[in-house]
Amino acid sequence: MSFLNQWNYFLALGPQAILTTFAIGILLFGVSRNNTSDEHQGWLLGRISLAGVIAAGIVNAGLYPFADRLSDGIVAVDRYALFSNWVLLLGSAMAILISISYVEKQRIQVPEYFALLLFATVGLMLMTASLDLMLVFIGLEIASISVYALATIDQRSPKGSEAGLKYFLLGAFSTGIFLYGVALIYGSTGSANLTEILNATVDADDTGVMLITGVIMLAVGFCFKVGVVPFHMWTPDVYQGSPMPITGYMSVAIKAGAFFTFYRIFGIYLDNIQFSWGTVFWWLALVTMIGANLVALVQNNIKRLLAYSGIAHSGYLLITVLANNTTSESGLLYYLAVYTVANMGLFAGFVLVANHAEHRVEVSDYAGLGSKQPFIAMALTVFLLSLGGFPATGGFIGKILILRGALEDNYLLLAIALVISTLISYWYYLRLAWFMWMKEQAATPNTEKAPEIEIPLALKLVLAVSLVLIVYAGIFPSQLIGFIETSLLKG
Amino acid sequence: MDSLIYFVLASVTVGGALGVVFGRSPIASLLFMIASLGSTAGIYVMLEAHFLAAIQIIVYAGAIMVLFLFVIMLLNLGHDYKRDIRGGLAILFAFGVTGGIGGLLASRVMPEGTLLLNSYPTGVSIDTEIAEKGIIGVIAEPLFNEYIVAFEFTGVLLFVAIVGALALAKRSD
Repeated sequence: MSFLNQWNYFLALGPQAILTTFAIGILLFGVSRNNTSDEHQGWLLGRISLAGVIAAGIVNAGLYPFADRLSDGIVAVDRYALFSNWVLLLGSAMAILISISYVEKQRIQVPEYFALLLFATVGLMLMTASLDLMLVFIGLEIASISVYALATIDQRSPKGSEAGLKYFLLGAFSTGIFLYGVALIYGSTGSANLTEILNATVDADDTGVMLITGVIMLAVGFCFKVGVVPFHMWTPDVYQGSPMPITGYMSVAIKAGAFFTFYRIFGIYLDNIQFSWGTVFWWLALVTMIGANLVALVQNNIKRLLAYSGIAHSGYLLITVLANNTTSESGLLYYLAVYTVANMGLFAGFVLVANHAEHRVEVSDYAGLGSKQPFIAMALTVFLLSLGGFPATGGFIGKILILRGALEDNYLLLAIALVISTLISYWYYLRLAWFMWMKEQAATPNTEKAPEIEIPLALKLVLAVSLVLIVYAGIFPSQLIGFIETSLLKG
Repeated sequence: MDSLIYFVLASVTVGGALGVVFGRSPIASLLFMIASLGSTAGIYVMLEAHFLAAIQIIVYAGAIMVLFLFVIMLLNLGHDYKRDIRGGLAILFAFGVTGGIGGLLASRVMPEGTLLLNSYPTGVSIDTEIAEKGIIGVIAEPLFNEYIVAFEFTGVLLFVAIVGALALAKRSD
């Protein structure tokens, strides 16, 4: 099978095509019914977009027989791309479920909201499957532009507008740097195709300044998207200002998509010239792990806290790109899958406590949650422990794999830094848990009474599924690891 | 002669780009940008990429710049404003950092005398292709064969941008 027959592209990009169709359908549905007073538009369109994600998942499963047989074009249909599709589809399905009550209560323009969410997923899936830097750029831009708009889709929120504008300006700037990097790589190797870049760099030495500058600029563009110190400045503000489900989506899907692509490009196709980017990544990983965890210690807003925690996780994941052996690659895939589930579950809990709005987002608002809402508090605690990497949660196995991968390639110092920064991170993860279980809500008369939380079915589903997956991945990791080991690029 | 024309065009391109940044009024910046894009088209002509040059003039210098002009006039931005960059120190810092990076690169390049890999592509192969298929064929064939997916997804990208812009511009209630 080959891409000489262009119909095969439809097969190869089946999940993306299905999601695009559903997104356009949702938009058409939105303009065909001009009744903005419809209360249940969110529920209806949410279900439709969820159906789209499930359909894309079915097609994705059906692509496994074709995996590695369609390989010559600019689109990869390998098991790696299919695995990353699973993670991205899971993340967006959870984001959709979390959004349903939120968009109804906040009266957000529902059709555009869900359509842009699906389009962002299309862009990320395209990016992770592409074997050509031009296609990577297009996928990255589809995802970024959708998320710029989603960050500021709530027009009544001034913070949302600020977040969107900030994200847009800085994002456009970093996209420019990324594109300049692609142009320089094209200029020095004669192709934007990753396979041809790999062949052209076989005997590269460190005199190819143009190539090296291009590679570094490419890395800067990616580091901005995943929020690596010192390109992380936008993260806390944008996370804080965006609607809460979108913050969750940004923190998992954009990060996962960017890291899957990051690894494919740097770990595989630019491996020949690791001398040019290895040192840079080493320092970036170190600074990101230590710096982000230290700053997170003093955060009181949970969205900012999660922003810094996300930056720290980017630092851990950079080690896998650097160490670049099969153990660390499985670590990358495992970690991203578990991180997606835990972080989305955490945001589901946050949306519930905030009562589908943007108030009650301080750490102190979580005081006494354990006695009032034991299920939510218990789920949140498990997710926090998983992010911190406690034994018996999925995050623990992920961290162990990353550590082993780092040690196999003799990155001893980075491994020590990983352990130390994990220990630092326990403080702020456990502080939130401590507030939930050990502290009673201050009973002064002028504090507003916490409203009764009632859990919609969709959120119950997200919390329960994430809880099961996290615990399962922590206690019986062998099945998932076995599956991941068949999905590696370095097979 | 060729290199003389090249240097004139190149300096107009770079000078125009600087003018965009340092221009006092948005209209002046815009005109500088047209100059910059126009001389880029001239460089394309020198590279015998006539089709690209024509597209550059029609799309960028023509359509997009007119759009910019309309927006500036509609928003009534055509008057002077205070500069964002305050003080010579900030400008000095910006140029210092950029110059430093440029100098580092130059110091790496000069001893070896090469910017590129050992086997960088030359223009020979594309010349034979142009002779075979013509200048438009050379662009069209990869566009609709090898890069058909990129072409189609560019459509999705533009669509997403329109949807996003509309979602933000639409006033609810």
